[in-house]
Amino acid sequence: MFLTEMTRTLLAIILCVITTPKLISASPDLSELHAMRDQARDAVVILTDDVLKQYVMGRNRPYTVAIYFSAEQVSEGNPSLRLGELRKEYGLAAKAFAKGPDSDKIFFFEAALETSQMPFAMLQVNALPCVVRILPDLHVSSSTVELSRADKMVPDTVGTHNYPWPAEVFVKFMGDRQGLKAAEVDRPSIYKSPLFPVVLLSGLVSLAYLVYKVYTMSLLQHPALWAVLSLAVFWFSVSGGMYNIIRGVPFFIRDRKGNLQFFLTGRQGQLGAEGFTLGTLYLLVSCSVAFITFLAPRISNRILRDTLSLIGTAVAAGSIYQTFMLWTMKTGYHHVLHV
Amino acid sequence: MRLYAKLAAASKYLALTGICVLAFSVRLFSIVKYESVIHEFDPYFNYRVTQFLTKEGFYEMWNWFDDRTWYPLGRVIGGTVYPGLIFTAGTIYRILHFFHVPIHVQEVCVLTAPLFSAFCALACYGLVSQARSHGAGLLAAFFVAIVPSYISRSVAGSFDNEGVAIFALVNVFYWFVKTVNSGSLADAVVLVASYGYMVMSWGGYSFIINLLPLYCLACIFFGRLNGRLYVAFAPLVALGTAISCSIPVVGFNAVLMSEHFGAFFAFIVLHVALLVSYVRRMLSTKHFVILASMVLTVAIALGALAASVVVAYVAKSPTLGWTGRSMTLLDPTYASRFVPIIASVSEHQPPQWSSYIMDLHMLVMLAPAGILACLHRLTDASLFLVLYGLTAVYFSGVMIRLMLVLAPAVCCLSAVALSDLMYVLCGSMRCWKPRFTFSTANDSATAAGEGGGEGASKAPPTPGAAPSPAAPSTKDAVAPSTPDEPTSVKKKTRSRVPSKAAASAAGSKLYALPLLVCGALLGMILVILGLYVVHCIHASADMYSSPSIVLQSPRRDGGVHVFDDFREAYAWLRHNTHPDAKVASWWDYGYQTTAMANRTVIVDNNTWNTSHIATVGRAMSSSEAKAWSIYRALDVEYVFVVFGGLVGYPSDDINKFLWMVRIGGGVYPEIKEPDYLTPEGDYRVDARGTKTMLNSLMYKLSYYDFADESQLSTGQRGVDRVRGYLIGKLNVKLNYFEEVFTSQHWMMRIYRVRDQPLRDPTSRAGKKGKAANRRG
Repeated sequence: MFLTEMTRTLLAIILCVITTPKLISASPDLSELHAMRDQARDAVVILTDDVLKQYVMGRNRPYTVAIYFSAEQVSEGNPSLRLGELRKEYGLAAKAFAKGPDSDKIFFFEAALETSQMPFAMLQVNALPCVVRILPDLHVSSSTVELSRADKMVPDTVGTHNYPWPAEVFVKFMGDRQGLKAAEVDRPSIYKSPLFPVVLLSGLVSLAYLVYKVYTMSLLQHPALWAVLSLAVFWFSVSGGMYNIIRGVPFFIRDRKGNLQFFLTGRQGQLGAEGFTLGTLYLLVSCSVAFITFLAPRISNRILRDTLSLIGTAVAAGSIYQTFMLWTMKTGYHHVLHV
Repeated sequence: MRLYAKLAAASKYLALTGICVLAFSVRLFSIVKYESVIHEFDPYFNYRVTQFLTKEGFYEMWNWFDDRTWYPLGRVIGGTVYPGLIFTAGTIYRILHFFHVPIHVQEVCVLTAPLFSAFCALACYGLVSQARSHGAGLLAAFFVAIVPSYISRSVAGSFDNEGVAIFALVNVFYWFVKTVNSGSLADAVVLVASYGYMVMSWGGYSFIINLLPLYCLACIFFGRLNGRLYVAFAPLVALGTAISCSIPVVGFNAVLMSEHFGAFFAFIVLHVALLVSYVRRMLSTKHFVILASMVLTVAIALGALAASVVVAYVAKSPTLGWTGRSMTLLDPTYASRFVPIIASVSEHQPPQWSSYIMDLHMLVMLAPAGILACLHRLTDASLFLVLYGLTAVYFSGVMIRLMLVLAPAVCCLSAVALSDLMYVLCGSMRCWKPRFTFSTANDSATAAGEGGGEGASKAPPTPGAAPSPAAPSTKDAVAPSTPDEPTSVKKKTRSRVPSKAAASAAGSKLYALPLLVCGALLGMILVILGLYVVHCIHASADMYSSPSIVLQSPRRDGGVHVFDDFREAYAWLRHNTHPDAKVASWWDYGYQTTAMANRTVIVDNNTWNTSHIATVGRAMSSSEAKAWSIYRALDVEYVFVVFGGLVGYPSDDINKFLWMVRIGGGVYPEIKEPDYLTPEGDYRVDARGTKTMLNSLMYKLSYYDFADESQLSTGQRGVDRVRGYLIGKLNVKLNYFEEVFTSQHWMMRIYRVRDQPLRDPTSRAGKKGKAANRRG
C-alpha cells in the first residue's frame, strides 16, 4: 500500500520533472523539428495536435510558421479547385526555404482535416484553398487566433489570375515580411536532365525513321485507318467534347444522396458522360448503316447475311429511337406537326 | 430508253426547282408570322449601309466615313466591312429598278438570304453530283434546303453576311471539285471568281484558304497528285490572294497573317512534288537517287534557315500572328482567358451535344456513315468531302457559330450515305425473286468520272444480265452451292477511279439483302426523313423566325401579345431628340440605334475598340455620380437600358451586366467582378446583392420607379419577373439622370443626362446630421 503510494508520488514527481522544462521553455526544441522536416517528403511537417501544441502555440517563436490547410473531402469533391497542384507548389516552396540560408527561420506545416481539426477551429478556416503565415511574435493560445488579412493566402488576397499559385508566389508571400531568403525553387523537370538532349534527338530521329518506314509500307494510305480516325474526331466533336474541355465539365457528378449521376435533364449544361453516350449512339447508327450498305451484301453465307443485316437494322433503329428519347429527356422537345 | 432518260432528266430538274422553292419558302415564316422587317442587330448595320449604297452609289459607299458611330472616333465604313452582302443586295435592287420593279430596298434586304439559300441548295447539288451521283446530289440539296442550322441564319429578314456567305462557301467548293475533276482552265477561272466573292462576303473565307491547302497536301500524301489538282489550286492561291488583297477589309492581311501561310506552304509543296515527279520520269532510278540526295542536303539547310526566319517573324507577335478569333479555334480556352469581348458573344460559345441534334437533326447520325462511304470509294472529290466534314465538325465544336459551316458538309455526307444505302436496298428489292429462282444482276453504279467529272447516270440493275468478266470465278464458286436456295445474287461492277480500296471492292460481288430488312430500312428512312421535315419546319416556324426586334407571346385565348417596345423607343428617339444628340447604351444596341433612331452612338456591334466599350461598361457599373461625369465627358445626352423585369424578357441588360463589368474591368482595374457578386459568388439583385451592385447605374436605370409600376401591373410590388424575386432596393432615386421615356412594356427606358445634377437634400441632411452628432 505504502509502496504503491510511493511509486505514485515518485511517478508524479518524475513526470513533473520531465514535462516542466518543456512548459517553461519559451523556445521549443528546434532540432526535433529539423529532424521532422528532414524526414518529411517535401519539407512540410504534418500538423498533429502534439506538433501544434509544441511548435506553434506559445507567446512567440524564433521562426515563422506557414500552414497549408487541406481536406481530402474537399479536394476530391471539387477537382476544379486543383488543390493537389497547389499542395505540390507549396511543397516546392518549403523545399526552397529548407535549402536556403534562412532554413531555421521558417517552417512549413500542413494541417489536414482528417488528422486534426484543431488548427481549423483555432484559425477559423472554413474555406479552401487557405494558407496562413504566423509571424514569430504572434501570440498563439489555444483559443481562436485572429490573423490579419495580410497573413492569409486566400483567393481574395492573392488573386486568382495565376491560380494555382506557383511556388514562387508562396516564397514571396512567406519571406516578404521578415525578409527571409529562399534558395531557387527547384522544379523537377525532364528538361534539366543531362540526358534530355540525347533522348530528344534520338526520339526525333527514330520518329522520323518510323514515319518514313510506315509511309513506305503505305499502311498510312489505307482508308481503314483514316476511317477510324475520322470517326474518332467526329465522335469527339458532336459529343460536345470541346464544351467539356472549355467549361471543365466533370464526366459525372454525385447527387445529394451520393449516387452517380450521368445525365443532366434540363437545357442548361451537360455532363461528359451524356455527351459521349450520344456521340456513341450516332456512331452506332452510322456504323450499322455502313455495315448494311457495304459489308452485309458481301457475305456469301445467306443465313449469316440475313441475320447480321437484321441485327444491323435493329441496332440502327434502336439507336435512333434511343437518341430521340434522350433528346426529349434532355430538352423536353417533341416533334410537332404543323399542318 | 431514251424517253426514260429524258423523263429522268426532266424529273431531276423538276425536283431541283421544287427544292429551290422549298428552300425559299420555308424561310418566309418570319414574314408570315411577324412582318417584313430586318432582324436582330448586325443586319441593321448592313441594311443601313445598303440604304446608303442605293442612295449614294458604290464609290460613295467605298469612301464613306461614318461619324454617327463610335463617337468621337467615327468609323471608316468602306474599309471595315465585308462588302459582299451589301453589294449583292445593292445590285439586286439596281437590277429590279432597271426593270421598273418598284420595290423598297428593305424588301430586297429581307429576301436576299432566302434567295441565296436556294442557290446554296443548287451549289450543294453540284458538289455532291461531282463527288458521287446526281441522286445523292438531289438528296444533299434537299437536306441543305431545310437544315435548321442554316435556316437559323437565313430566314427572311436576317440580312447578315452568313446569308450569302454559306452559298459562296459551297459554291467555291463546288467549282474547286469541278476543276479537280475536269482540269479545265475555264472552271478554274470561275473558281477564282467565286473565291473572290467569298472573300468579299465573310471572314470565314479563312476556312477555305486553310481547307484547300490541307486537301492539296492530303492528295500529295495519298499519291493523288496530278495536273488537274494543280490547275485547280495554283491559280486560286496566286490570283485569289491578289483579289483578297484588293478588298480593303482584308488588305495585306492576306499575305501577312499566319492564317494564310498554309496556302503558300501547300503552293510550294505542290510545285516541288510536281517537279520531283517530272524529274523522276526523266531520269533513271540511279541518277534520280543521286540527284535527290544532293538536293535534299541543300534543301534541308535552306529550309532550316527559312523556317527560323518565319518562326522569328511569327514569334514577334504575342498571338503568333493569328487573330483572336482564329486563336480561339486552335486553342479553345484562349478566348475565355484573354479576350472577354470574344467570349461574351453567345455565338462564340462551344456547343453542347443537344445543339447538334437540334440544328442538324438526323443528319448528325448519318454523316459518319457518309464519311465511311466516301472513304470506301475514295475519289478526289469524296476525299474533299471527308476533309471538309472533319475540319468543319472540329471547328463547330469550338464555336457554335461555325455549325453553319458544318451544316452543308453534314448534308452532303448524309446524302452520300443515304444514297448508297438506298441503292443497295432498292437493288436488293429489285433482284428479289420468289423462292427457288436464281438470277444475277449486273449494273454499273454511278461514280464520279475521273475525266469529265460527269457521273454516269444511275442505271437500274438489270436482272439476268451477263456477269462481268471481273468476277466469273467467284460466281462459279457460289452458284453451284446455291441453286436451291432462294438467294438472288447481284453483282456490281463499277466504272470508277482506280484506287486501291475501290479496286478491291470492284472485284467482289454483292448479294441481295432479305426483303424484311429492305422493307424495314426503307420504312425507317421514310420515318426519319418525315421527322426531319417536321423538325425543320418546326425550327423555321417557331424557333428561328423571331426577329427579336418585335416579340410575341401567346395569349390564353389563342391570340398573341405583341411587344413592339424597341421600335417604339427608337422612334421616340428619332422624333423627340436633337439630330446631333449622342446616345449611349450597351454595344448590342448600337447598330439598331443608328439605323432606326438615326442618332450618334458611342459604341456598336462592330467591337473594334475594346477600351471604348470598356468605358461604357465602366459607366454602367459605376455609381450614378461617376457615370454622370463619364457620360458628360463623352457628350452623351441620352442613355437607355433594356429592361425585361416587368414582362419577363430574359435577355435584358441586367442579365448582360456581368459582361459589362468584366469588359469594363479588363481596361479599368477599379471595376472588380467580385464587388458585384454575393460572398457565395452568385449574381443577384435582391436584398442579398452587394452594395456596389445596388448602387450601380445599371441597377438604378433599370429599376427606377419599378416598385410602383409592378404593384400596378402585376400586383406584386417590386418582384422582378425575369429573376423571379423581390429586388434589393425598391426606392431608387436619380439625381444625375432624368427619365424621359419608357416604352409600353417597360422593355426600353430612356434617360436624359442632366446638365446639372439635382441638389440632394437627403444626403446633405444626412451629412449635416452626422456633423452635428460629431460636434455634439
